[in-house]
Amino acid sequence: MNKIKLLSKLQTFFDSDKANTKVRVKEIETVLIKLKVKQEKTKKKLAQCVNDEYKKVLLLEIDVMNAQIEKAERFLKEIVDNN
Amino acid sequence: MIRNSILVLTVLLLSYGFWLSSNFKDIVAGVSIFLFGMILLQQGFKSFTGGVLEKVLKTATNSLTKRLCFGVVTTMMMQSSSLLSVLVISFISAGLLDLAAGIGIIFGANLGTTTGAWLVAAFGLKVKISAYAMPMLVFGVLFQIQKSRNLQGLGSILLGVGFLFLGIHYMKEGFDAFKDTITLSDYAMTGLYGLLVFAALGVVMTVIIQSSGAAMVLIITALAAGQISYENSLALAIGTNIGTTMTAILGSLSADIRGKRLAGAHLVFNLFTSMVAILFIDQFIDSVDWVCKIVNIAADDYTLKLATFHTLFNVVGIIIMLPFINLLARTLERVLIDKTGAVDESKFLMDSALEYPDTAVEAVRLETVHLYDNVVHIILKTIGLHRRDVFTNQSLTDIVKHYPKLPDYDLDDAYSTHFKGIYSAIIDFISQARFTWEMEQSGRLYWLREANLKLAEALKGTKHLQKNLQKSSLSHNVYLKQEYDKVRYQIAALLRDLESAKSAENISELPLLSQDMLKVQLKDQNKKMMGNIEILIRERKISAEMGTSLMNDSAYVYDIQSNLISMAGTVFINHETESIGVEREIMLTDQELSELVEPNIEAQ
Repeated sequence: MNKIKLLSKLQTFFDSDKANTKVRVKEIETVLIKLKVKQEKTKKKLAQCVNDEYKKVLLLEIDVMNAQIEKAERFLKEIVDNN
Repeated sequence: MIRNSILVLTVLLLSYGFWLSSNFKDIVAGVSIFLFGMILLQQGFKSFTGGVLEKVLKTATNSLTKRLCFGVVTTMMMQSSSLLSVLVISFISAGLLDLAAGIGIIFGANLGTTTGAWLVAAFGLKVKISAYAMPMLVFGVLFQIQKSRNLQGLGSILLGVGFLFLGIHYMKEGFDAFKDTITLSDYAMTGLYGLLVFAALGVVMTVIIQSSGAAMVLIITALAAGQISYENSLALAIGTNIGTTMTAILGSLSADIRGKRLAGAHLVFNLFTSMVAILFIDQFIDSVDWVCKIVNIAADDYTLKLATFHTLFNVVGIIIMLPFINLLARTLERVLIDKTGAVDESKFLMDSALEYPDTAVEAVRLETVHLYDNVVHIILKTIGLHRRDVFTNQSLTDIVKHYPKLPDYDLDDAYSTHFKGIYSAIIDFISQARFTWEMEQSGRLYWLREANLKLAEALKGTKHLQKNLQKSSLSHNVYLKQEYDKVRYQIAALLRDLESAKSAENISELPLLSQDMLKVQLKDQNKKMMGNIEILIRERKISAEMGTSLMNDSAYVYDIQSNLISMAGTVFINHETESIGVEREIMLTDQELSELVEPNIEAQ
């Protein structure tokens, strides 16, 4: 019994990197979903916007979110590729 | 000592008076019941409004008219300006109102107190007021013994009004009976001498009673009973206006410098209006007759004429003083200097907190927020705007247009008073704390220290900007003015965004990533501004010297804003949030942000 416990603990220890990666991937995916939802909302706002100045601000916001999404996806790919 | 002596003397005099005449006893009892009613009315409004007054004061006092109306209506409802004064002082202390705005409300309150005279003259003396008092007292007590706070408040209000009515009834009865034994009107005085003597009597009376409202009711009931002449009652009313400032001054003795300044403004206003009333008494009497004729008040209805006079000279005072509110505020700020606590001190950094790492980190964070608030105050003052306007939903373009001139603001003094003391305390506290602690807390403290440095940098930038901003506000070049107004707009817009980020009610999703939006907007604004300046120089709308100054100032603005954003990233964001780690990795670098604004930019 003790041997089994010891083995399972060792297994967890050796797999800890894998577990951490899993958590990280999950976290990045969550942020990505939030970012995409936020971007959609901004796009809807842009579609309804009549003020030219405000339109420019919204467009810039969408660009920023695009860049953030690309960066997050790049990170995600790197993590998946390295494991 | 003096207060105790006055108290003993008053008790002795009153006792002697009671022994001499039972009618005198009725009058004094009436005044006491009236005052008690006022206290209850104030208590009732305090609990009944449950913070409503504060909310209204926060949101609905962004223009002078609104401030005046707020002062008038609140005082009219409570029949006393003292509760409002306390509220205004606390708002000024918290930085939510500046002195000039507070003075506006106090002016309104002064006008509001005159409504009491109208109520008594038009209603209190014409009907059997005690008949209304009794049911009110009964219902008041009934509501008072309920559990609900609102009902208790309503009970206090009813009791207050009931006692006010009862007090008026006793005063009226006392004066009516009094005239059978003594006729005070035999001692009436005419001319300037009479005016001054009775005005002085009005002052003394109000100082003793400690309420101009109660003193006015006493004067009106005496006038209605024919115990004083109309002319002398006018002088007494002027006296109450001066006397009421004595109560404000006595009250402000225990208040801080802000309370003293507000009491000072009250004194200046009332002394001024009273002097105007004394100097132009004949014109005022004629005006009262004219107004009474228009509104159909009988020529021999002296109580209503007195109420009209009371309102009229306060209105005239307000009209004359309104344009000088800012000057009055500035003068009072210059004359009444806080000698004991001139320097703002830290609020959260207790030595005991050093023993508990988490508590100490939170204390430093809160103190940094405190320091940030002071920096916002200084920056807004420098760009000639006010917190009360900027942190609302008003259009910033309108706000900037509304304040075209920049005040002569002593930034060095503000730095010493509102920044240096707290900043030094924070740095000292962090140095002591970091000496012993584990890495995690030390890391947070390191970033908090950096955030404080950013605040200092932002102030430095503001200092550089100030000179040219002031110059531009006096310039005749419209284009230059427009560009500097844009600068003011941009700073105010960022402060508004950061205030929203600071507020706990606006917890943003992905808070760190949201900061990228602010940063990219900053870069975009800066790019556009530089482009504009080049065009203006090319088209000879501004000189090259003006243009280079603008370019330098634009860089200062960029520094101020990016320092504030960076500070906010450390201080306003909850670093326990799950996504923060990932957000930190995804956040765009300066280079990536620049590429978004100028896609053709090449990496250096």
